[in-house]
Order: sequence, then structure tokens, then C-alpha cells
Amino acid sequence: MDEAGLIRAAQSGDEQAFEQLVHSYDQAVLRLAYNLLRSQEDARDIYQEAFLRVHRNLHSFRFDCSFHTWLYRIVTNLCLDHLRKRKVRKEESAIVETAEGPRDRISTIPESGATGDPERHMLSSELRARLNRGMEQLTPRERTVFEMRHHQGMRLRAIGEILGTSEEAAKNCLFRATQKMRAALGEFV
Amino acid sequence: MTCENVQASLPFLLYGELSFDEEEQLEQHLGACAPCRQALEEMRALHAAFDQSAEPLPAPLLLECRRELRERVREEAGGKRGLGWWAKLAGRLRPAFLTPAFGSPAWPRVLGAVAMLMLGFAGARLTSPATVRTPPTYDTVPVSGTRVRFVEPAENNGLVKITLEETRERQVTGKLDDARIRQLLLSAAQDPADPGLRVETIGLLQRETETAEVRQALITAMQSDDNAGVRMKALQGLKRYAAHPEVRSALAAVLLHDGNSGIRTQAIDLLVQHKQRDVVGALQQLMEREDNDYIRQRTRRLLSDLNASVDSF
Ligand SMILES: [Zn+2]
Repeated sequence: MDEAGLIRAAQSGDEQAFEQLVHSYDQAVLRLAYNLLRSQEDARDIYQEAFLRVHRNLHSFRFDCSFHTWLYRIVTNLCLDHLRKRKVRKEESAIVETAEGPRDRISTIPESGATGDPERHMLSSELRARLNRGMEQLTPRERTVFEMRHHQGMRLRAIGEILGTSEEAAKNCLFRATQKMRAALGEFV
Repeated sequence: MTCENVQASLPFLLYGELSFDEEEQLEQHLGACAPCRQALEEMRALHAAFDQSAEPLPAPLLLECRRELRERVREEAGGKRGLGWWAKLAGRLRPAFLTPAFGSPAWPRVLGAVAMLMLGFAGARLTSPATVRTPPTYDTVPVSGTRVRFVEPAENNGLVKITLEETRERQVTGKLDDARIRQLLLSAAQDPADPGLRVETIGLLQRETETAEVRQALITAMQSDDNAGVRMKALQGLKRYAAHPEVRSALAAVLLHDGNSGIRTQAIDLLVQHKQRDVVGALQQLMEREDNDYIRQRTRRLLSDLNASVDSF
């Protein structure tokens, strides 16, 4: 069954079709949420909330944009909201409480060495630290556009449509993100 | 093409986001300019470093998410089919009762003790005797949305009384021209917790802008929602009213205050559709602060069409 067929079946209550539809997008969605929020818990929350909303509102999907766009509007809104809230919290205090006591928030971003991929161990910790610092300096929007373009390979036009803005604005956003990341990496690259 | 322009376009060259012509010009320049070729190599290295910034998904996460989603969807579907509230409630209470200590033969006795729960709901009492006698089923997945407010022993008969606060989902169907439906949508359009819901709601409301209160809600959302997607949607909903004085002054305010240039672009595009002088003052102010070329150019054109000076003095 093609996507439109799956959507129509899911709209009429076919849960299997719904699941199939979810499975064609959910890995990319989860990766986006995980990379934006850098927390398994938060990514899991976004995943549930996004697809439950899809499930609840699918009947109102009228095919006047692609399902991809519709889904990512939901996902990016949730992620942006989360990032903004976090930003506010962070501005209030740069220190977070962890099980081991208070720590600087930046250092709570997980180290990828823990994922056990030998190739990633090769990546020097300095580069990693600088990449993280660069990411921290992006606004939630810049970060989202950057993730969607660089890591998810979406077209700027599609990103603009998802974020409710023009292709040009998405382009500017990406440009600023690139500049900030470059500055953070400095002579390192 | 200057070296500066070329270097600013390099990231987009690597992303394949340039038009055929732009790419052509860039390649020509690169062929003849060593410093820009050097800059391209640096940009490539930068992109390679960016590639490293992605975290691979922890292996079990996707499967866990899928499992959890399936359970929650099933719950919601169960709710729609009218599965008894008692079954849902019983399922919800399970984790609290069915701790390992209760999981074994002791459980039937506990069950006996709580079989006659008296339930006080905030507002309504739903305790029909028939329902209370229904034996609880414990295979339902717990649902969030129920909170125990109070517990108290009732008299000396071994019963306990639990007061629950429940968030219940209910479906309402109706037409947009129904005032009650509209009222629900108008409040959803302001739900501070949920921009996704606000976008959806505004999308629905824009089909019903004939009503003054709906138009007002769209104007409010366009001017003050903190989510750009919602503001954009509201603006689009007001398109038919580009000649309406109240809408025009709101559009002018958006031009002056919205930080999102995509939204400002749409606002100016709407305003220029009607050559009305009501917004001249705002447009002149705009010329003093706007830095987006497209918006400046459109504004300047409109001002000159209206025979207004580009400066405010
Ligand atoms: Zn050059």
C-alpha cells in the first residue's frame, strides 16, 4: 500500500496501517529528537507525544501538505518548545542537580564514548567538547534547522515549510548556525 | 561575484542548495580563484567535523518507544470503545497494589478488602452499585491522567474511601459555525502548553473568519503567540481580510515587532495588496529599522505608490 493508502486506512481506524505509517518515519523522528535534546528520556517523551498527536489528529489530516511536513511540524514544535524551556531554565541557572550532586549543565551532555563504537573513540575529546560548545551557542531554531539540514538531509525549502517560514529564512538560519559552529571549532578544523 | 559572496555560498554549495545558475557562477569563480578554493576545502573539513556531532541512537530506544506507543494507542482506542472506567482505573491502580509483596498468594485477600472501594469523583459521583461489583481486571495497561487526591478509612467496616481526580478524554463533534465548537477552539488556540495544538486549531479557525471573535483570536495569535508557526498560521488565516482596518493595523504591528523575517515578509505582501494610506506612519517607522532587503524594497514601493515620503520627517 502506498503512503496515501496507509494514511486513509489509518484514518478509518486501521491500527496496523497506523503502525506501518509510524514505522516509516519514527526512526528519523527519534534521531532528530535525540540529537536535539541529547537525552533519552526527553527524546522518548517527544516520540510518544508526537505520535500520539498524530494518532489523535490524523482524521483531520487533509492532504493539503505532505504527511512528512505535517508530522515534522508536530515534532519540531515539540522539540523547539522543549529547547526553549530548557534555555530559560539554563539562563536561570547553569548548574543542574544530578545524582552525583550539582554539575555544570554542559558537562551533562552524554559522551559518545559510552556508546561503544570504536571509531567514535578516535574522535578527540577536544573536538567533541568544541562541537558541544558550538551547539550550545545555537538558538533552538538554528539548532533545529542545522540538525534537519545537516543530519537529516532535508531540503531548506521543506524545512521552511515545516517551521512555517520561508526558504530564505531557513537558509539564513543555517548560515548563522554554520558561522557559530565554525567560530566554536576555531583553528581546530 | 566577489570572493565574499562566493565564500558565503560555500555551505549551500556543499548542501546542494544552490540553483543551477548560482552553482555555475560559483564553479567558474572557484576555477580562477585559489583563496576561494582554499575556503571550499576548509568548509569541507568543517562539514566533516559536523558529521561527527551526531549521536547514534542508543540501540534499544527505538524498540522501547514503539512498544510504549503501541500500548498507549491501545489504551486510547480502548477508551473510545467505551471500555469501562473501572477497568481502566483498576489497571491504573495496579502498580501501586501489585508490588512484589502483593503479587503472590496474599493478593486475593487484599483484593477482598478493596473490592468495595467507594469512589468520590471531583464533581460527579459515578458509583453505580453494578459497576462497583464488577470484578477488577488487572490486565489493562496503566493510563496516566488519574491522581489519587484523598484516601480515608470509612467507618469500621474495613473499607477504604479513595477520592480520585481524573482527566478524561471526550470527543465532541460539530460544525465550525456552532458557537460551542467555536468556543472550544478559541480556548484551544490559546493553550499555552501546546503549540502544535495551537497551530492545528488556528488552521481550523481560519475557515471561519466571518465571525468577529474568530478574527480577533487570529489577530491576537498573530501578534502575541510565542511560536512562529502559530503566528504564521494566524496570519495566513487573515489573508481574506487584508483590507480590514483592524487587520491592517495588526499587520503593521507585526512588521514592526515580529522577530521572524518570514512572517514579516508575509505581512508586507498582504499589506501591499491594498493601497490604503492607513499604515503609512507604521511603514515609515519600519524603513528606519527593517534590515531585510526584500521587506525594505516592498515597503519603499508601497510608500511611493501612496505618494508618501520614505522618511518619517
Ligand atoms: Zn575568490
